[in-house]
Amino acid sequence: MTIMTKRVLIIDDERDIRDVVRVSLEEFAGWEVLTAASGLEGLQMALVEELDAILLDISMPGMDGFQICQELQNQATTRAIPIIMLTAKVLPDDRQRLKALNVAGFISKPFDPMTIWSQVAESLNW
Amino acid sequence: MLTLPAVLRRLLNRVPLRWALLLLGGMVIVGTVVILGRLPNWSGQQIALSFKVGAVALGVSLLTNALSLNRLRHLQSVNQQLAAAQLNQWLPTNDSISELNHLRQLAETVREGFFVYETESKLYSYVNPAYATIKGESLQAVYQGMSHWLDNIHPEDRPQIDAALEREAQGENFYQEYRYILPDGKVRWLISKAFPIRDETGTITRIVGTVEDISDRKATELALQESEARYRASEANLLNAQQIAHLGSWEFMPATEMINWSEELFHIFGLDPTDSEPAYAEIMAMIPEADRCIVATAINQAITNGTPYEIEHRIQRPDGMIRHLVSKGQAEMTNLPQGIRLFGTALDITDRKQAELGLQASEARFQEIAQTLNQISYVICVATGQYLYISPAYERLWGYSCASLYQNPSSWLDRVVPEDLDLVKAGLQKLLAGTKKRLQYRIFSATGGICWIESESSIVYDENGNPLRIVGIADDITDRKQLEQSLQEREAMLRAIGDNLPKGFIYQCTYESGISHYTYISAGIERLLGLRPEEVIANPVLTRSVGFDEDLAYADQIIQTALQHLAPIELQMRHRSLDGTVGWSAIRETPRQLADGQFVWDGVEIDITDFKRIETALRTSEELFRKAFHDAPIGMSLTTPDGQYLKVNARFCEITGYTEAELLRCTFQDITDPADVMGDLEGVQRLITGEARSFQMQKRYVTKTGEVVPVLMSTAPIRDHTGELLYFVGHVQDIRDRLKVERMKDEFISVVSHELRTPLTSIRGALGILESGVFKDRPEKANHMLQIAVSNSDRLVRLVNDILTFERLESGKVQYELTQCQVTDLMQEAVDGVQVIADQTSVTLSMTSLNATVLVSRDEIVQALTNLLSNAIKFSSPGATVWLRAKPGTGDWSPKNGGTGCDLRSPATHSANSYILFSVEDQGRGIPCDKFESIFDQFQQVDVSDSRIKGGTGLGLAICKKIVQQHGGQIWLDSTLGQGSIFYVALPIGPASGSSHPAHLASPSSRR
Repeated sequence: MTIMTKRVLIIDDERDIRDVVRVSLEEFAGWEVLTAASGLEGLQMALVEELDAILLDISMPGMDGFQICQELQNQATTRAIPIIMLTAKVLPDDRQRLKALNVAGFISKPFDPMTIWSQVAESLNW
Repeated sequence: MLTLPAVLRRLLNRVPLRWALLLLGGMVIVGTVVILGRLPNWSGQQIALSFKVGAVALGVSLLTNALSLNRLRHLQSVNQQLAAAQLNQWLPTNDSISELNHLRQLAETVREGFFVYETESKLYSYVNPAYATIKGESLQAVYQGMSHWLDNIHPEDRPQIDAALEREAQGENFYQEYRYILPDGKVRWLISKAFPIRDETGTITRIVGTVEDISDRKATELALQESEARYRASEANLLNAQQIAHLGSWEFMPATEMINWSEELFHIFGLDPTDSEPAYAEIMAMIPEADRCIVATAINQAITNGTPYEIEHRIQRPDGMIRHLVSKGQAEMTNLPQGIRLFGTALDITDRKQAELGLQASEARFQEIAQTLNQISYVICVATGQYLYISPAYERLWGYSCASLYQNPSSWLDRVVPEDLDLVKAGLQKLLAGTKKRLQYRIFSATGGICWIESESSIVYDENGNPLRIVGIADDITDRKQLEQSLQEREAMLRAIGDNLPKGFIYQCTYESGISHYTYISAGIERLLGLRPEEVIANPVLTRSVGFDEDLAYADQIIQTALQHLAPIELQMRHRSLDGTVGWSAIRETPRQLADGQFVWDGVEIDITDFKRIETALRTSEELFRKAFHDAPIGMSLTTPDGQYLKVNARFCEITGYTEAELLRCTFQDITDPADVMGDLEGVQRLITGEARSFQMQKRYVTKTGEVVPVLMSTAPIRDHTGELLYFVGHVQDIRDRLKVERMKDEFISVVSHELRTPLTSIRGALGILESGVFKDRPEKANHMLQIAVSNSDRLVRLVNDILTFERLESGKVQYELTQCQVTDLMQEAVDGVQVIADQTSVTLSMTSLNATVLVSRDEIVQALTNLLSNAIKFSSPGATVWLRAKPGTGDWSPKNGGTGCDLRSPATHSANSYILFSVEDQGRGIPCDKFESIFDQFQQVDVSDSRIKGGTGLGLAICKKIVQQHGGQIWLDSTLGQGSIFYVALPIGPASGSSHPAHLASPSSRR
């Protein structure tokens, strides 16, 4: 019997962060982690891949996190995928914007790599 | 009068004619003399009496004359008879001879002249001695016919004699009176009777006649005529006198009831004098019933007792008028058959009576008044010093009885207050000397207090000019005196106030044709203007001498207008004080109308020099504050408690974008952003209630153009001394820049925090994973993590450094150490610094060299160049080249408007100092022109991704700009999209003219 493991996409323009997140989730949660270096790349992957969740960085060049989020939710195929935003922004304005989005949760940077998977799981009721 | 002649006749028949004539004459003379002599000084009664006597006398004399005449006539007829008898018996007989002798004897002795005249011989055949006597000739002369009698006739009478002789010749008898001139010249009145004797033929042979000397008679006749005339005249006078005296005389015979009235009596009774006298009963009827018995009684008494009476009674005239009469009457017994005769006079005293009544009435009224008047009136007899009259008011005022004063005329002096006694006595003396005196003195009144009395007396003189009486009045003037005194006190007080005015004076003046005349000036004028009151009153123009011309001219205008409208005058004027300084006065004059319609002006002038000084100082400080308000660098406003703008300064208008006029028409709510109004009002409310002394808030105004201007506003209430809220004062600062700065700071912080967090996330993550030991058996993986940690740490370091550098540059705490540096060295150092990165990215660095020095802070410039180079490298593709060049320049720095098609804003031109122009050129993707300015702001990157990808901090260019600017230089760029960019830095060789200090460069003092 195969346990279906979670397939999570991490979209962040920082390579190092991508690596850290992937390692954390793979090593500590055992999830399958896909990475995208830009919002567009992430969109494309979300459209074709089977995903259980998307970890989305807010501040990215090109289309930023907000825009990608909205786009994901516009698309029928990706609408159902829960999104968790990764953010280093702390300003109240940004918080408000975040709240306006229909996302499953937030994770602020920096995060503890050992516990990030549980934060995600909690937000998604896994 | 009818019975009187009878009486007289009898009397006269007994008395010889001569006596009668004497009596007559005497009475006439006496009567006339008496009447004429005494008329003026007699009273009415006396006049009446004299006229009575005169009337009687004249009546008597008239009658006497009449009677005498009768007697003469009688004698004459006897003469005639005699003559006739004589002639008839011409032929002598014995009897006739004896009779003739008898007759001759008679002729001889008779007084009358008798003659027989022969016409033929023209001689007298017989004349008696009397004839000769009468003719004044001797008998012989007559017989001889010495003179013809006709020639001796008075010429005036001659004509009538001749005429009579003519008639005689015709046969008439001759009977004539004429004057005959005697030989001795005397004139005699003769009466001649003659009749002719005719013979048988009828011729006149003889003239027989008598001649009588009627001189005496004639004289008497003449006298009688005269006296008759006089009588008539005096009768007329009597009538006149009676008329004047309204005196009528009457006679009444009770027995026959015959009544005789004088003409005047008719008038008195209102009857017509031409009618006959009324009857007794009628007269009685005219007497009012009340008086009738008085009259009747009086008359009866007179009749019975023979006493004369004098009564007053009224009569009623037919026309109804009542007249008052005084009737006097007397009875006498006469020998006439009628017996008693009453006679008397009646005097119409109606006018007198009326006057009397009037006088009584007015006297009564006077008495009444005198009784009730509070005024004392008095009459003193000078001679005796006694009071003839003192009115009852005396008792009331003096408390003494009037009787006491009658008794003791000087008793009133007891009451006089001792101090005034001398005055009173002196007054009395003066009065007697002839001056009309009005006295004022005090007495101890009946009620015990002090009374002021004013008395006025004058002297009445008799016809000789001697003082007869003193008449006077005295009044209680206590009230008036008190009023006078209080008035005097008031005046004294006013003067005292006026005189005691500190540095000022009061005055009163009138205006005549615009020029003032002073009626009163208090003493203070001397202190203030150095002029004495009397000087100025005498010469009103004096006040102008201490004034200033402009002030005087202005004052004249004001006065003119004020005079026209009778409005108060208010002025401020300068004057030259005694010590030469200039002082200020405030003058106020108001008009006041007196009882007689004239206007006086009451004025006060007060020194206001100090006040004026304070005013000036105040105005100066006001000016200061006004300037401070209007020129303040922050916006200031004053609003009413309702928010209405009262005052705004220029800066406020700038900030809010409205003109002053517009703002004064609106409230702060009108121009406040709706979202902030509530908060504003709440804050204001707290001020009103006193909860807060001031409140601050950030709010936005909406300008006229709709722009939203954020401001920081402080508001505080202004209250008066009672705590009443007057208005709010607000300070407003445009915080656009600050907000921008804050926003930028926030952004900066956000970005910085974001930037810091990003590498931190990597570090934390990497180290966390390592720590977990999950890679303890996988060294490559572990190493990878370490690498992440290390590189991100470096990144963090760089970031922190840049931030700190930038902040340090910003804060102005940098102290540059300036040294002369070789340009090439600087460039080389920068190149060396980025060589590694360049190699890593396969970018070629190319550098020119320049032999020049600049006075700069070495490290900073190197850093700047380094930043530029690293940017250039970052944005270059592998294989590209980055050039670093430097060349000298002078004058204008404006970059060449290269063929980029971009309009570069030229930097400010500096002076003609020489500079070094560095440039860093790359072949990157270029920068859009709208970012040429903003790219130098912190964290402004063309693309947010750049820093990520390139590992930059976003502060590089900002740091460059700061460094370059602080060296007095300029940094700008030129770029073509898709081709590349060139960054220029111009640095002055020496310190630029804009920099403050040659030894070190201080950063600009203000941040914004």
